[in-house]
Amino acid sequence: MKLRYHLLLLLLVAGILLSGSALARQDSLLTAVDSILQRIDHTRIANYTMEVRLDVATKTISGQMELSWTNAARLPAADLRFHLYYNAWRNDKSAFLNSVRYHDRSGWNDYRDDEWAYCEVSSMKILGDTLFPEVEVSSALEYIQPNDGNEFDRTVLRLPLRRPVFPGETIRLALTWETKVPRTFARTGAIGDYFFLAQWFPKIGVFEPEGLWNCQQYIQTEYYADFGTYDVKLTVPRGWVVGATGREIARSDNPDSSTTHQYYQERVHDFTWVTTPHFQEFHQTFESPGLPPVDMRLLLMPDHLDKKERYLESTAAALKYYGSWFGPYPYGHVTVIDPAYQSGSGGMEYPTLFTGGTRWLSPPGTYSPESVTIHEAGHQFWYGIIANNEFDHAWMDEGFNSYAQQRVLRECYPPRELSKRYLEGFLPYVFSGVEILSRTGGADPYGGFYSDFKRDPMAVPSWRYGPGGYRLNSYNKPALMLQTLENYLGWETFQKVLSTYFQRWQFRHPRPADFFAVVNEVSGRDMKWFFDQAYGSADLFDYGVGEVKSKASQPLKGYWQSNGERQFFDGSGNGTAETSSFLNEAYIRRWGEAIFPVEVQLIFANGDTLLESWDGRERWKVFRYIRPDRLVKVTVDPDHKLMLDVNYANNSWVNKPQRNAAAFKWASKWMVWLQNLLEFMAFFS
Amino acid sequence: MKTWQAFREGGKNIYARRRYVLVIYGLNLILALILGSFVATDIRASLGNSAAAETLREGFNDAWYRGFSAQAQGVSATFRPAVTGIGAVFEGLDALLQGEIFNHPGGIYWLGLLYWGMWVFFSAGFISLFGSDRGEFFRDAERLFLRFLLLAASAGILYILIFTVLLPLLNSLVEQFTREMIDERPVFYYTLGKYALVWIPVLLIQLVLDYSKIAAMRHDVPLKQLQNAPLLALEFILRHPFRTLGLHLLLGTIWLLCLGCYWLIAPGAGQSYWITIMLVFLIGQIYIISRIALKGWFLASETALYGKGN
Ligand SMILES: [Zn+2]
Repeated sequence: MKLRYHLLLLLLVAGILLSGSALARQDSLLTAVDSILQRIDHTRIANYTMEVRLDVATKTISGQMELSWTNAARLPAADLRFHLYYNAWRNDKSAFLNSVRYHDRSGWNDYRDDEWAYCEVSSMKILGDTLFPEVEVSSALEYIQPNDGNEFDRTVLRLPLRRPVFPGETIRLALTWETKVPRTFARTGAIGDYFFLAQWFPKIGVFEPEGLWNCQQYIQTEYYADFGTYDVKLTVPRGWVVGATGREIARSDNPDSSTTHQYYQERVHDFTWVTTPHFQEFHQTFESPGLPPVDMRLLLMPDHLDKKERYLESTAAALKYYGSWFGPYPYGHVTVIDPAYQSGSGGMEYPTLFTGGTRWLSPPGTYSPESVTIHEAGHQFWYGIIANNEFDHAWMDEGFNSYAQQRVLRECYPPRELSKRYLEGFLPYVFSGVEILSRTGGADPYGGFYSDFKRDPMAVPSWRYGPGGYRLNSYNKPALMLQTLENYLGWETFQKVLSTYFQRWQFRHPRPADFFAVVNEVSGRDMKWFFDQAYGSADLFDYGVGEVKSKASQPLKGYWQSNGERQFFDGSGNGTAETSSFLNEAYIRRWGEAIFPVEVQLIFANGDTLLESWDGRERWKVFRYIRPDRLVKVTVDPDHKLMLDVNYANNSWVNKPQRNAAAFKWASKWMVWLQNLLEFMAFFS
Repeated sequence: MKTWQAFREGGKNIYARRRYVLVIYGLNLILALILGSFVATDIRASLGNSAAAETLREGFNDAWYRGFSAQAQGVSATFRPAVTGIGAVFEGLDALLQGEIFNHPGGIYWLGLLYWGMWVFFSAGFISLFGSDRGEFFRDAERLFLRFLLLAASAGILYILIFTVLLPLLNSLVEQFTREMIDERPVFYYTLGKYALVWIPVLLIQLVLDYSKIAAMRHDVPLKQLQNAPLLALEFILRHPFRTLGLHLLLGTIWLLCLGCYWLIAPGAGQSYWITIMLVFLIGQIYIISRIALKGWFLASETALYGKGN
């Protein structure tokens, strides 16, 4: 196969030299390349066979790997690029620690001397075959800094090639490397005898269709990689429990009281593993009509044994609803990791494995572990299977997943109530009756929009978002955008949009435009106007009720033609057949820059209800009615379809607001708090 | 006098002088009403004619709250739904335990200092009332105030030292000890131990402060020899360790019982009618009154235990 592609390319080049116009040459070349690329299996671009040994005493991993990589782009690759993520902890001036410092994240600054880390490739060679001669290339390796030019950063390694890898060709490399594991930070590393190993091996970047490497420095915890097959032998101390991407296909004890676990998985884009002697293992099979069964493997820490059912139930909920809404979970197994206390490894997704997270004391009302478990299990779909470039478009997995997570929570769990943790967070308390925003859960705009909403449009690459912009634009706003879209198109249509998008792009790397195209195609509408605003701009959506007036209309004063005669009326109402009525006016305002069609609901004193539509384009719109009753309530967007509306409290007007009772009720509660606080302050008298 | 006797006599005495408890409560209420009216005004203004008021009246309206809190200024910025029910106590207790009780914005901070000073004054009134036959609350309070203020301020310096030196030190020690722990339970026990180490001296200082004030009143220790008052108190406590500590423990248990009762009955956020809203407020007021009465009970019992002829 490979030989054929190679010959074909040579023939093409020869053909170009001999043929006519440049344009025609280019076209025919591209057509030929495309036909080659079409035959490439996109689930087998980067395939790893690894043998690694974890030395728990020195916290090092030594490994050897064979990597086979196929160029799936339209242009030749003149070099190869690798992520060495653990070099983020090599020194305190790496791009990652600079960024962490910039965002005021603590946790790394008290690193002890033996807790710094590195990832070093000690040898690399190209394995010989019909395309490439076998050659040792270690000395050609160099560190590059494509994002910031920071010479202290060694998170990207480059191998210049003497002979490029042409489109469709596969190159095989053998390399040995050593990784020193950092103290856990940013969801990877070691603490005590708990090792959570993510982003731990030299990993090849993505060579984009345009012929450019997407192998960014490690600046923030978002990743991007090609699909492939992982066959990994992990050697750990005997008796230690291992959880990893894939299924364990073999296990053997070694004479040196270690055990080798072999894990295998196809069609994934990362490999993460965890090991500790403390895990307790549980299995349960997920079954739901119309969906393939899934073996759920749960590894629990001893202080969370009582959370077993809650972990499994919420994992099953995600598999069930995501499976039926978007498409079935294809792997047949999933490993749920309950992360160790203060390991900082909770709440993260990896292919066929994810970490939840909970506390020792965590009653059901805290939704821990449920919320995070649904979210991370959900990432198996939006990240694992639909593998967008998280580095640039984090919203495509985080936003989709936050939106879907809230949908599952609404399907399966009661509305969320306020919960707080006291005494340094050890003691939880759930405030029953204090319902907090659950429609979007962690994805509501209200907390952050005043300062951050207008900073960046979502369209800015994720790693370049300004302070506060990352969370907002990767999670909250896209979740609200998708919920708004669902409300606008209707769930039936929107579910079709999502399942089509999922079906079409699974095991691939869609970009924002790919999703927008599916929306337009499936819904049969051009939604460009919406995406231009919600995605392409930082404009705010905010509709509200402005002035509302209800004036009793005066009886006629002046002349009126009646029965063919001119009659004078004195304004007292005597002699006219007029019934008393009200002139009602409701001004609806567009406070934000962004435009969206809204409905306006008007309720009159006698209970009559009108529902009007407004295209929302002008700055304001007045609704006028002469009716026997006055207006008592006006609501813009009564069903709260426009979830992106940044202030829903101004969407309604009532003639007799309950504000006195509401204000007294909550101020009186606040007073009891203050009175009690005063007593505590007087404790030291 | 035995612990139990002192406890009972203290209870009797504070009940007999309940009008002073009500006076203190009245002041507490007035202070709270002044600030509370700002909060109520701000909430009302922020609601305007919005239908959000309906859901806020019936329960809570988080969408409104997030907008409100993002823009709230001054004392209104401390408004949060966690002040509901027992949360009103937990929020303060949590701050007290961690030595952050005075970490509140301007208005509340100064009000707290004022209230603290008021209690120094009132404790003088109570102690002289219970400790002498011809005591008169306000006159004696005025006469003893400066001395009591000095004693309380000296204790205050010790408290500050405990929370700014000892607690941070223990924090970093516990952090070091538990740094590699991957099970939450032992870390929790370490944390409990840390607060025990902080609060045992705090309570002992409080004990010494209380008896210093009693001794200062009883022996009419002049301002210039005020340093003798804590010595007298220490001597008394060391002579009767079980009685003094026992009494403290007994009254501490009563406070825990009060707290437990309030926890059981403290209503959440579900009231929607004026009558129920008022009722809930009244229940909160009963708890506040019991707190004030209990503080008086502490002083009354300790004064009784110290005895007249000591
Ligand atoms: Zn996520």
